[in-house]
Amino acid sequence: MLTPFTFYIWSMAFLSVFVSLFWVIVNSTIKQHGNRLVEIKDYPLVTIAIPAWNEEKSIVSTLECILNLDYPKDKMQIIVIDDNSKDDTFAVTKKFISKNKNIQLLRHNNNKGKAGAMNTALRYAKGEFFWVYDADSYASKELLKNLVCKFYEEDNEKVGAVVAITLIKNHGNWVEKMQRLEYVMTAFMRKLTGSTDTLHTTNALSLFRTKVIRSINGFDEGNLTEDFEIAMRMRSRGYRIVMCEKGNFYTKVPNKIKNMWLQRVRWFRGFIQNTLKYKKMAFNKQFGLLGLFQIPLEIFVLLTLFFSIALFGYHIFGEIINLVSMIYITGYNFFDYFILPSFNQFLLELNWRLLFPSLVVLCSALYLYIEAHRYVGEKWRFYIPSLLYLFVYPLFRSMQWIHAASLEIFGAKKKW
Amino acid sequence: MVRVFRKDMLVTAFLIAFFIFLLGIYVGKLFDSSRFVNGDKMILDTQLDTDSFVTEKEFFTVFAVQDCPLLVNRMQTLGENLGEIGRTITKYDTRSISNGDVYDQLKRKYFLLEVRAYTLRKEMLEACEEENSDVILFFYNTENNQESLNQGYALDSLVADFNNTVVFSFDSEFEEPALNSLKGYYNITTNPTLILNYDTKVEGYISEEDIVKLIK
Repeated sequence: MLTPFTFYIWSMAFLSVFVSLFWVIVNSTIKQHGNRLVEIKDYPLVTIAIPAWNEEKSIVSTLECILNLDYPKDKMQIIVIDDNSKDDTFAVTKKFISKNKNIQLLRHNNNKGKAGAMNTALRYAKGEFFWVYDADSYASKELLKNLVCKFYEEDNEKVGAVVAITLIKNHGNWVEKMQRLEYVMTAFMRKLTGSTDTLHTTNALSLFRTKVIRSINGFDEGNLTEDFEIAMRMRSRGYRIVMCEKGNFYTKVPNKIKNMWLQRVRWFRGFIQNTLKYKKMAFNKQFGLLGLFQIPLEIFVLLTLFFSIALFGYHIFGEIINLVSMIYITGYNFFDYFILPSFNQFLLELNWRLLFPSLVVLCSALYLYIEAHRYVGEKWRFYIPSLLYLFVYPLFRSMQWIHAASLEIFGAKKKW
Repeated sequence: MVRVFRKDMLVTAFLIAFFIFLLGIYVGKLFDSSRFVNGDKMILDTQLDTDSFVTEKEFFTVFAVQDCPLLVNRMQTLGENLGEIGRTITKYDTRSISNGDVYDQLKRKYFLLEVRAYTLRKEMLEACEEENSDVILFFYNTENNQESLNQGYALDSLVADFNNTVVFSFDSEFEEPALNSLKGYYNITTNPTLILNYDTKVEGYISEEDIVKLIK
């Protein structure tokens, strides 16, 4: 019988099938096109900004990694901004740069956050391009060249930033392994959104066109996710963000659930704040597919997520009540009533109306999962973290979204 | 990056999704038909068993053969089969994709069989003076009635604990003349209601222990 609950489930299933098929079609179309390669004779000057806060352990290796990049050394302006570290970041960096004179070291008298550090670097930037380089990340040797090439390849003044594929450095325990899969999928989804011109985020090692970020007044210092905010601001001013598919950068991820939880809650709060800040972009023809499809889809998914959790919570609560009643009434021997059905009976008792679209979504998800691994050049396989990522992690993420939304609703203080 | 988006991609994705849904509905309908066929076969088998039982009973009566233990045993099996059919139809009903007409037809056949079995049992009780088995009529309401659900659990537990107890359950909202007569006879006004061994009426939830006290 078609109850409102069934109707809702069917609508969600239809939407999931539709969206996953859309990305499957986009991906298969990209595969038919190749990538152009652009030769650059005279590489432009790039300002590399390294915001550092309590990075005494990693700053030297970060700087060494930058100096080893396959990019003309005279075309790199390196600026380290010590954001009033409590450890010896300043002293360690000072010692290192005494042997490398082309590195500038600046220090804040008080902590201004990552966005503040980047704005300071922006004031001193001389490069045509501005590369934000997180101190706990490291880039593959050819990455900077490829990012710059991407600007030339696009040959469009409206391209404001190029985003790199992000992978993770540390994948020892299952928390990190699960995040590895998340990063692989995110990189792939960015490729897909990039190819439909709906990419609206930047990340830790994005390369910006300096005059573009200056023209939009730099980074938002009060924002929880300044990389997402600047991306939205650029898109709202008509600039594009593109994805560089060659070369990776590696970042460190939290290795404990608690830290991962806090990081994600901050990201999700940032997403909510910035989506509200740029709500005028939703359903706005001016922004093409981004305004008419991608942003509304994200808002819709978020709203239905909360609604679904409430609805399923209510149903699960009812089922638990039933189960408890059953155990109580039948005197704890309720397993006596579970009789294994025959295969034929099992098939007839399955809920095919939900199972069928779910199978299609699952197949699409597996296809995209395999494609994502192929895209980042990593082997795909199924092991416990994959199953956790596919089936348990969405629940975990839903809880993080609820946490983030409740913090926003109750106006909790911003925490970085 | 090559920009590949074309509007027809959205249209194509929508059409394929729509086609998959139609296919899903078609598959669902196929399974509905199989369920109906399976449910109908179960009912038909039990109907034949009932006819066989009635024929055997008539034969014994006409030829003055006394074999009450055999009849009691067959009646017991009949009751158990009916319980199994009830559980299966309830599961099928929650899984159905199409409207409930076909399931209503199955339910109707099932309730009629139950009324018939109940009547036969009463008749047999008088003929055989059978005292070792108990029969319970259970009237329930399917919509948001936790008491009915709990009563169902208590009766399942009772049947599991006492093999010689048979429960005939009826959806009191279901429209069927024979069922209406049964409801009218026992004046069923609330759910759940139990009729224990043909004459003791209990309205509202009653635990397994209390049922045992009343029937044993």
